[in-house]
Amino acid sequence: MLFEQLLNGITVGSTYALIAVGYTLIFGVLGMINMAHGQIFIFAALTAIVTMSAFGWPLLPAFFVSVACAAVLGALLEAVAFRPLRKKDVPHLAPLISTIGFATILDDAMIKLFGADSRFVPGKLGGSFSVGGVDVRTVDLAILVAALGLMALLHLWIQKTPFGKAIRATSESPETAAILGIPTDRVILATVVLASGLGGVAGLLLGLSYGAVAPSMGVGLGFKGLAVLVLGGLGSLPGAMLGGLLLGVVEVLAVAYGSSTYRDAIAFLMIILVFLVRPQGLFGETPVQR
Amino acid sequence: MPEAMLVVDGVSRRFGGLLALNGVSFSVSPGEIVAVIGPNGAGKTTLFNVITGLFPPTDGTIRFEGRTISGLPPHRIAALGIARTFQNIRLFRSMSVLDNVKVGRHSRTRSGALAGVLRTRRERAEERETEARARALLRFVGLESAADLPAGALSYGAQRRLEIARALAMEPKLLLLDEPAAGMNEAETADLAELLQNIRRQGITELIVEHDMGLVMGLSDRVVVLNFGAKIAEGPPEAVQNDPAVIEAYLGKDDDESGEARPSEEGGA
Repeated sequence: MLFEQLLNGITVGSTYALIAVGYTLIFGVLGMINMAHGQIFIFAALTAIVTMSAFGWPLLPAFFVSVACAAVLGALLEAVAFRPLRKKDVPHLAPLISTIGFATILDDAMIKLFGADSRFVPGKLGGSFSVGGVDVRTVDLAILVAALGLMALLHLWIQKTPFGKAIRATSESPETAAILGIPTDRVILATVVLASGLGGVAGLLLGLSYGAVAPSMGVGLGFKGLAVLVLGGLGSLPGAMLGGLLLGVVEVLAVAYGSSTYRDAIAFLMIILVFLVRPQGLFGETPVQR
Repeated sequence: MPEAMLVVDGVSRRFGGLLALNGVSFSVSPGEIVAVIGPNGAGKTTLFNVITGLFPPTDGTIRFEGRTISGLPPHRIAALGIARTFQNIRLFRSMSVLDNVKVGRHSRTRSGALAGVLRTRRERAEERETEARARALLRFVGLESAADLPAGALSYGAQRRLEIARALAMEPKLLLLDEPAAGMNEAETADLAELLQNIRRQGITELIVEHDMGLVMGLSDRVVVLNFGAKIAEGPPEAVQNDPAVIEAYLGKDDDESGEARPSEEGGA
């Protein structure tokens, strides 16, 4: 029972982690929170589900639809909400507001296009199997492998490739990166597109886990991703990954051994407790004393 | 004298009510070492920021190898062959010493989002070359044994040398050095002078902002003096040193002894 709950928690948590990674990447290069992230990935997941239903497509091409849709929305977000505010002397928080505007438009567009009701994910991965007495749902295993695999690939890409180094350089200092010949606007665009594309995967994985996706899920899941961003330590990729898993496990255990009514309350209580011990988050850097 | 490499032509830069640069003109020829000196707040770092494109000049133009670069974004100017170091060291502190140098290779290698993902033979060859060049540069500045340390763990003088290695990784034609000797002791400064001479021997032109007069006098072919954003003198080191306008600018606002103009035997390495 405990192992099943833990596995369940890690599965849900891996999708939270994937969402939080999206916030973290954008926070890294722009120093800004993308308030439209939740709406972008739910919009993309809904588009994929509607496409699947309309054309009778299987699951794998649906993921490409979700990723492509989220990536396009990410590029649009960068073009209309971030870039125009980067050039001039605008208040620091202005891009936060413009992403909220973008999110509001997406919310309305989703309801116009798809309706406000939940959409069921067709062609679910059914079945389960038993490993050493622990029941494992096939769908959970698929989610876990996909989410953790993607994050491992992302980690390698960021650490090892020239473009990954350019993203890290831009995160530390956009000015210095530009002086060193790095086209920071292009790096930022690629990062926002990547973050959104990963969200596109996460949105559809969550749809698989819950069995359905509704437009209203964007806000709540977005806030969870945000909580994980802060829990892991602002801008830390390993922090976002571990924080997401932790949040998922705590939520599932809260439901299993407490009450589902208090699921979110217990999860956020855990986050508050972490901050009492580590105000900078799990992997956050201690502010430099000057 | 060969044709000028860098031409700064009537450049002004205004920040609100402050005229940080006021109609500054001078040029740098290939192979030269030119120093820019002046009291604190004279506009020296602003001049570097304008040349490297961090912000455009309010007035005037800057040409590099015959083409106007004022108004271009910093990464384009960098790709044309202008590299710089910073007065307040700006390393990527979370990266290793070696990775800091590799970042400098960005505009000299294929580095799109998919570069290095498929690991084709060509990419692996390029990766090996980047690695080899980065290590060679670390050897050149005497940091080869520190390659895998985080950049933030280096001593102050070593961080300055790492910044120079990172700038050299860009294969620049012109290297701008913003107070390279700041915070260094006498021995470190002497090593630095030798390093800067070696860089010149590789055919790289240097423009140096520096307070250490010993270093400036021993190293530079010409000196440009700024005061309150305007050029007040230009010429060979000895001539500038005895220029009444320069002496007045320094004596009037002398706040540390390094601002004192004195001849030096340094830099002859």
